[in-house]
Amino acid sequence: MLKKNHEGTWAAREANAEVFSDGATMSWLKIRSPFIIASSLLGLGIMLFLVLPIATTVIGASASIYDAITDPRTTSAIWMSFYGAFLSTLAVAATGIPLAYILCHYQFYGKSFVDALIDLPILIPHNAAGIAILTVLGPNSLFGGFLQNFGIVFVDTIYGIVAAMAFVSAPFLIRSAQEAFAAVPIAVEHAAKSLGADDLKTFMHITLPLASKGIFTGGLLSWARAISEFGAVAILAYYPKTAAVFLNDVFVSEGLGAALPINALLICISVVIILVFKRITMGGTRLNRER
Amino acid sequence: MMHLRLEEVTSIWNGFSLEEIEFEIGDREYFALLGPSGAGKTLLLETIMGFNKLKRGRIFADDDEISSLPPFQRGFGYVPHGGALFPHLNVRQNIEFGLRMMKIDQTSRKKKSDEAMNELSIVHLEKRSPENLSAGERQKVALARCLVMKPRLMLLDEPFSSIDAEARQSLRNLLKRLHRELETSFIHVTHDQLEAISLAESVAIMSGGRVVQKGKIDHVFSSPKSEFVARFLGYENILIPDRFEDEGDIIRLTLNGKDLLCSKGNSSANRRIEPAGRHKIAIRPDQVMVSKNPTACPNCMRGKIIDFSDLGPLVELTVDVGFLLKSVVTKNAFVDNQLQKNEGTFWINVKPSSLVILNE
Repeated sequence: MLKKNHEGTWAAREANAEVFSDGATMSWLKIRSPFIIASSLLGLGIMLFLVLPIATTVIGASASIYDAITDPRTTSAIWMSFYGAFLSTLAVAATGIPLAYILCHYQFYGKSFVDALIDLPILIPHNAAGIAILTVLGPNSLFGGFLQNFGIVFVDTIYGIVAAMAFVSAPFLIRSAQEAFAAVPIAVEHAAKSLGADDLKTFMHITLPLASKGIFTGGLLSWARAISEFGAVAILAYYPKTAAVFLNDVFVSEGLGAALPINALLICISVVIILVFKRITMGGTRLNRER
Repeated sequence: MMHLRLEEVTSIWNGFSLEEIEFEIGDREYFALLGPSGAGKTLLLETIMGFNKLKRGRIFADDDEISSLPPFQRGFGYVPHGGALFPHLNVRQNIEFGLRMMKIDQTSRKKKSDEAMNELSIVHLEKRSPENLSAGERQKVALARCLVMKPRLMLLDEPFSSIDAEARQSLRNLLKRLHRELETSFIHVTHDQLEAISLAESVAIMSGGRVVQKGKIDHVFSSPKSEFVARFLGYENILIPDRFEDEGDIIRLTLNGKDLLCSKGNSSANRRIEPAGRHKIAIRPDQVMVSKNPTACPNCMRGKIIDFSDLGPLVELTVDVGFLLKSVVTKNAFVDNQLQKNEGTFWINVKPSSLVILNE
């Protein structure tokens, strides 16, 4: 629904400009600017590049997706991905949220170095990450060997899947939590402390509830990233197979035809996850700029 | 009842430092921390609260050192800038927060919060979310949130900022009443001299992380020690006389060939004059009278109005008496005396007691 812009200054600047009734955005259809048209065409190009491979995969394999769903190997691999990602997100949350809180609230020597390290898993190739984890948690490593005494083995176990997923997905949760904590006004925490709340009570009653939405968003991002991980998981724990490992396995051993339905199913699940994620994290938020 | 004492308090936050702050606040005293933005007022308030560590110095409450006591054990009530209500809690939950932290049972919590809401006339806001409150209402809720805790000292950070004139008047009256009724000292941070003079008994004026003048509010306002304090307190006329002559009870000073008399007794600043030194003098614009006819005032000078600005109920004049002076008169006086720019000669009067000699 469109209505005339009531702002005289805008009306003078853009004779054709109109805004949506929520006051946020000019109507695209009314724009005659070459810059806006060029931007739109370039944007359309990247959208096609992103969507076309996915669409052709899903459309091409739509007839056999049902077979993939009913294949117990596929469902158990998908379950392993979801379960492993869930455990990895819990592990990252338990350690990453305190780290984000400390980084956000305190100054200490080497803080910027620690802060930079958080992004490292995003930068290094994920199979390299898998090998690196193996040097710490593998059966011949000091720490991995020690844990083996208690029956905790990382190679080809759920522990390995969780460790590999946690390594690559941790930055997403930690960064989101940092931003969420930074958005909590210091004055509000000060007010809580002046009212008798110690650091722990202030965190539990004020900081965490106010940052919870951002942390939850980070958790979802981290979980989604963990589900999609292949490289590090394949190095550390090829078995039990996660969805990404299983897809690779089928593609290598049985060829493209056998892999396509599984691929299509995974894409469909990802689309559902993204839609749910958007719904939860953005709610009714507009994508438009605010005035 | 509480007596607060700061001794050489030095603290650093983000590169800004408070330097050797010293003052005392007596029992039930209303104390204003006055200064421009960036003077360090809020940082000092936060340091008293215990949010910033002291680099040096000590803070005493009733002769007990509290320098290293965590904020939640100091028993001070703190109303941050804007109120800082907890956005995820409604008004009643905000007010009861401190009582919950002290594990007070629900019945007592409700009784105490009811009392506080009645006291501040905010019962109707009980279930509202902070985001649906006006700035004035937020301040009242923040005050109620502190008052239920029966603090021994209240610290208010710019409580009147972003509040409209009507709500400001109501909040001012409320603070006066609370201070009268409660056995609590108040520290009120503000950059507004009128706000300070309307509420406080004592004041410390801050600049660049230091207290540049402190004392009883009437004394500080009538005897600014430095040009900075004088300008900040509204002494817009800062002049440099050519000559000072001590004549016993009075000081004669010469400005651009004109003699002005300054009485010694009106302020301590004027008593500390050093004849050989170079001092500036300060005059408030409201102490510069403009009339059509000469008066018996010893400092009565002939002059011209060279400019004026309408300030609503007041008019600000710039007059030339051989040197420039700012004057503020009421709109009525402006009309009655037919004060006109560049037309005719007027008489400018400054009482000897209105001249303040700046010592620093």
